Amino acid sequence: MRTLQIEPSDFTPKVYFNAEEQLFEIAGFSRPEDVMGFYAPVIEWIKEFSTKLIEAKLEKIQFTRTFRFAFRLTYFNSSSAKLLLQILEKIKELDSQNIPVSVEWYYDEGDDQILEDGEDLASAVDMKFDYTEIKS
Amino acid sequence: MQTELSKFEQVYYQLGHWDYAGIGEQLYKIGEILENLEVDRFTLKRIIFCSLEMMENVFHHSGKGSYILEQNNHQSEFRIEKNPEFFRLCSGNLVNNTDVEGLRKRLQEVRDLTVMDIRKLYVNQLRFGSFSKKGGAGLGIMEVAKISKNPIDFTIETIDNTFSYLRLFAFITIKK
Repeated sequence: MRTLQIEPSDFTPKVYFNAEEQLFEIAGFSRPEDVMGFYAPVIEWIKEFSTKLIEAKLEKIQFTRTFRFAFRLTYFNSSSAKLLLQILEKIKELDSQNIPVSVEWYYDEGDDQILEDGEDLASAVDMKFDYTEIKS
Repeated sequence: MQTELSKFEQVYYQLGHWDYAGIGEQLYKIGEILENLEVDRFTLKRIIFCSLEMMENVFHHSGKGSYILEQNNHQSEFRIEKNPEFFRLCSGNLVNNTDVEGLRKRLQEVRDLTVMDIRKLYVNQLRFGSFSKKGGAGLGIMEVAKISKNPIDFTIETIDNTFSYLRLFAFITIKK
């Protein structure tokens, strides 16, 4: 499956979804003016990927490595939160099918705001996140 | 909560309509001002992101009733003030009178909740709230309360038969 790579801008985060590496990362600052337009290809990609993985699972393919979804956000506005939740719901679908996934949530040392944002998203999607504080 | 203007000294003031890119320019200026005031990193971040949510809210909901916008006291506005305890952020914009009742109810609900209850309401709205191109299902006001960690406040002043003017206040505690 093709890699999805979106370079960051003043308003939008970096997106790097690489199926081969099993690494999926969203990083930076998220307040796109057209939030649906920005996240549409990301959600489309994750939907397609999720469908393929679930099909593979049904064909009894064993997954030996965990699919790591890393969120390294410094800020996201309330509009972005709703779209991030849609991405997380697709990840949860994989988890529900016993496909090994992890959600890694990174935050700067002492930045309880972004930590709380992660906790709120985890609560909304009803999934366990792995939190990592980045020491400054 | 502490809406009397006289007790606060002005730190930043912007009057008039702004576009999306203009919000970024304003935030940059606010950041510089706060750094000069030697505000600690995380308080500064809270002020910047609260300001961002409030200015985005004005951006999405202003621009109505241009004839009133000609009058200075009813243009969109954003200001930051401080006293020894708090930074007070205030945004102002026109709202349609037809929206006032629902808006007042939502704002009162958020104003009267504790921070923990606001987080619960936010999660609930995130899961079940409807979403439009204009914004995140009413999440913006909750986000302001969540980031500021203090109750919000607001005033709604009737201008004429069509429009009212909403002022939204957020308070960020100054670390001692």
